[in-house]
Amino acid sequence: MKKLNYLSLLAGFLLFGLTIAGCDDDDEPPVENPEEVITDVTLTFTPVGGAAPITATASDPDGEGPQDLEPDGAITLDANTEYTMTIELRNEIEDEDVTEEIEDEDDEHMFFFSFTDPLFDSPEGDGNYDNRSDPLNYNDKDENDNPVGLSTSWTTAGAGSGTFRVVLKHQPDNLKTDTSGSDVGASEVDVVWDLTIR
Amino acid sequence: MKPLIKTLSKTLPGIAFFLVSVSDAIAQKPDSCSYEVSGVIYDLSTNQPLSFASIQIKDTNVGTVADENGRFIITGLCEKEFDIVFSHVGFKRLTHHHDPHHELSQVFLAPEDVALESVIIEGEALEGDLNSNTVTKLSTQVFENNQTESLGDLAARITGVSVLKTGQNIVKPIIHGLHSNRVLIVNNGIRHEFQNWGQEHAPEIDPSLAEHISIIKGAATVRFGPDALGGVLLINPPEMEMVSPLSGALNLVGKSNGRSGEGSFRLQKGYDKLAFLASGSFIRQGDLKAPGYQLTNTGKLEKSLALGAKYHSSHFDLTGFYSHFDQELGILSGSFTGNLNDLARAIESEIPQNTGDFSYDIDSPKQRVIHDLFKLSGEWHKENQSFLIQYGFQVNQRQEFDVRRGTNNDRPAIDLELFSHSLDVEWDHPAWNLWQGVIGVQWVYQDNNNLPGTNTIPFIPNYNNTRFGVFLIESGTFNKNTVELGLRYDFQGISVRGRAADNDLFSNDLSYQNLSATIGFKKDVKEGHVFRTNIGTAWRPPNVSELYSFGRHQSTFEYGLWRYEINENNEVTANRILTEQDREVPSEVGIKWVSSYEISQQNWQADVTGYINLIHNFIYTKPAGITQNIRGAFPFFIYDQTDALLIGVDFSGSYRHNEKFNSTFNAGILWARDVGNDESFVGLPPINLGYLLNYSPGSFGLLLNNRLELDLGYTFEQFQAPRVISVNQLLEAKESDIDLFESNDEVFDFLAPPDGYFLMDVSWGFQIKNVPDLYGSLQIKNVLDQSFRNYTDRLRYFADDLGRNFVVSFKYKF
Repeated sequence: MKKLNYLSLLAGFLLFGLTIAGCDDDDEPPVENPEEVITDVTLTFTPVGGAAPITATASDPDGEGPQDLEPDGAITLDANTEYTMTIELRNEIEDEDVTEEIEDEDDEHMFFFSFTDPLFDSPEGDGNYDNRSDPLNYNDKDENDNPVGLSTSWTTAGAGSGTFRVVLKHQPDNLKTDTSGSDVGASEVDVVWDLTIR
Repeated sequence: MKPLIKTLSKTLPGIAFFLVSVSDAIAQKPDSCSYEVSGVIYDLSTNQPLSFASIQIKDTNVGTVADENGRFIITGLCEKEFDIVFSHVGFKRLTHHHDPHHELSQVFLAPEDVALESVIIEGEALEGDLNSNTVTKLSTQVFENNQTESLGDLAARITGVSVLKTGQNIVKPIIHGLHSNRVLIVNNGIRHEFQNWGQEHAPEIDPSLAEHISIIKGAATVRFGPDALGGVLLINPPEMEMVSPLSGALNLVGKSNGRSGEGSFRLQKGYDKLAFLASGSFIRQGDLKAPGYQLTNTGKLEKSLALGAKYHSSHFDLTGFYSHFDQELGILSGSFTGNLNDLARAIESEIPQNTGDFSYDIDSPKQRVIHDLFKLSGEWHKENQSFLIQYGFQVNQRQEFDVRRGTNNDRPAIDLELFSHSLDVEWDHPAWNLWQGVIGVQWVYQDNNNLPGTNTIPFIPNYNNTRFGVFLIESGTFNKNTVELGLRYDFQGISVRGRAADNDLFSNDLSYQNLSATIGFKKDVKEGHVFRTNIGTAWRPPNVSELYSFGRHQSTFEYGLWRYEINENNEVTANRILTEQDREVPSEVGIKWVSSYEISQQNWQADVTGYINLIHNFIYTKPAGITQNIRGAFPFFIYDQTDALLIGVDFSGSYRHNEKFNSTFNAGILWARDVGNDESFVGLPPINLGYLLNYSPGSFGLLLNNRLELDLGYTFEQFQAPRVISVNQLLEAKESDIDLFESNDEVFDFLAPPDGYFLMDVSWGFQIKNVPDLYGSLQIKNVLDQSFRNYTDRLRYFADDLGRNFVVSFKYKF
């Protein structure tokens, strides 16, 4: 009699297995919105005198693919002119403005710049990428009174040419301080443009 | 997918029918006084045979005394089942409920002065698939002393095993140079199914709940199925013994490094027909410390629980088991990098970036893993055959958190749930002439899903996987020679559904099949000398991550075999998702030959194992260029296939100098090469040597049974490393528009292998007078506070390994 019990148990096992096998599951992965991807960086240099603004964009249509990003040619600025430069970040795959996110979290983000000396009269030097305390004209500050860099001021020197590099650092968990340099945190933007002053 | 399941549904009733016929064949035989019991008794602390122990059938006058070599036999027994008592002066008495279906084989008696319990290893619990396959077991003493280590670190105490680490918390075993998808982990008789493709995905198993850990060094695919190319790691919980009083243990451990507190308990009770087991553990660890600095964000929080029950009657055993594992672990903050510039700075900084004060907080980057295992198995025994049916159900949940912007920082970047069902049916058939063997069927069904809400495109697709395998293993004994043969057929069907970078859906249905075989030979050369040799084939189909992974992983990008193409200008593009029509990706197929020679003598034992492993279609990644994206410059790697050859030797030996001193020595050497491209591989474990000295001086005043241990280890610099291309060289090449990999796509490393290093650990175990059930121990690991970096630690670029660590533990047994 006992043997029968074993057999029914066994049959139970097999039935259970079959039931599971029968659950055909073709779930598709969810559509995700990769908010953190930045595909386009646009720099807008607006002359303080009121002339037409000059824009420069770098875009990387394949995102995390192996193709290099394409800065759309050199930035050309007029000599001895004062500009206000604003930065716009976009995720074109998702048609999203990432700039707002940076504004919301400006206490964890900071832009650093590096450029050929002496293309600018102000700020002097080659930028603050290599040394945080080097001069740079930030127009915006976060809640801790530290600069952000979505808006900056620039006064060009005489004619010349060189490169202009923009680096956005994410410095979470109180890593951003009044002395933290570009060596702190992870890079979210790091793009180099050719720059001509004429 | 659907047609496959239909095929299976048709097959399974066939098996049910087969079961019925077997069951009928198990007929009763008349009882007579012809039962016997035999085995060998060992000293648990030294693993040497124990002479002249006494063996008695409980409540009778029947008994005997073991001979000089620990062997005993009692014949002419009329009862089939009885309780048997093993005793010896100075050793813990052991009562065991015996039935004729379980050979005793090995009885380990524990000296009264150690915190270990006497145990029996029954015939069929002798791990491994084949007699001819080399199986190395972690000694009970070493296991007990180091039970709070991770599974990987503990397994690495077996010669031939090393670890692949991501810092101190994420540790995977490497067997004979292979890891991840090429090592199979069998926990409690069930294949441990997890996201094994990731180098930073450690097995979710708490070794403090286990009792035995062993390694099968051969290609044990015939018995266990695909993936066992390097070997198999077997983990087993304690046996649930019938007719045993309520017993248990409580273990408390404190460690100075990481300021961790750890606790575990175990309770066991056996009745006539029922036995129960419950155990659990808890670990809370803060930031660890390297010599000279804190390793910020390396905390850990771990909880685990296991429950078991066993029903036993004369012909039938039913075992149910459940275990739960929950772990949250931090990853060194300074190891999280963005582009190549960030990586260069992280590597160059003497002290890891973002190093802060000690804390128990676990922030991003971190992992949270939960693993549940449920198992139910029934086993029928007859005079000379047995029948096993085992069902396993596993749920593996994995969340990985990266350092992200805003609210995304609290969202996992990877959020996966893997369900696995398995059914094993095995028939240990009656001897056919001189041949004994097992016929088995294995069925596995898996469902892997990405959970919504990560705000990242899934790194690997969703998939459903069904595998069906059938095997036969036969072994014949002729005089002192055993010949073994095994054959297996597997069919695997996978249906895949994923999303491309623009969220477009892709899908594919794949199927693989393979025939595996093994042949082995074991010879008892003379008393105490055993020679084993085994050749086996193994295989594994490409993993979904190797086919479909796409995108950034920290400071590198990688593209799976079906995510990239090489155009006519020799440039890599990744705009299209390929199929088997575009690029054929055959399964990896390996053949491994393992031979070993073991000598055990009165005062010493030694074994040497040699192996050759050739793997065809070996899947690996190679560098293919540097891409400039908005975040900066990143090197990218593509998956490809080649042929790999691994050759190595393991040696271990022990010598008992006298009553008080005991020495153990071990060494592992591996040579490996990508023979397809004639190149080195990255990350091969270097040669290491270990020496362990035990000294048992007896009592010091109130402290009884003192045991002192000195553990010395030397790890050499890896001499088989590939070329080095520094991050700055990569950046310079990108700046000057030079393609570094156009003429030479040989693999490279960012840094040369670290120097060799010497480590010393000491430990002291004792009991306190008049407190007989309490066992204390004090250990100091890395006594010299040596700064070192482990070549197979993925964080070696950023930080040193652990500094000195004081470990205090107390165990209370009852």
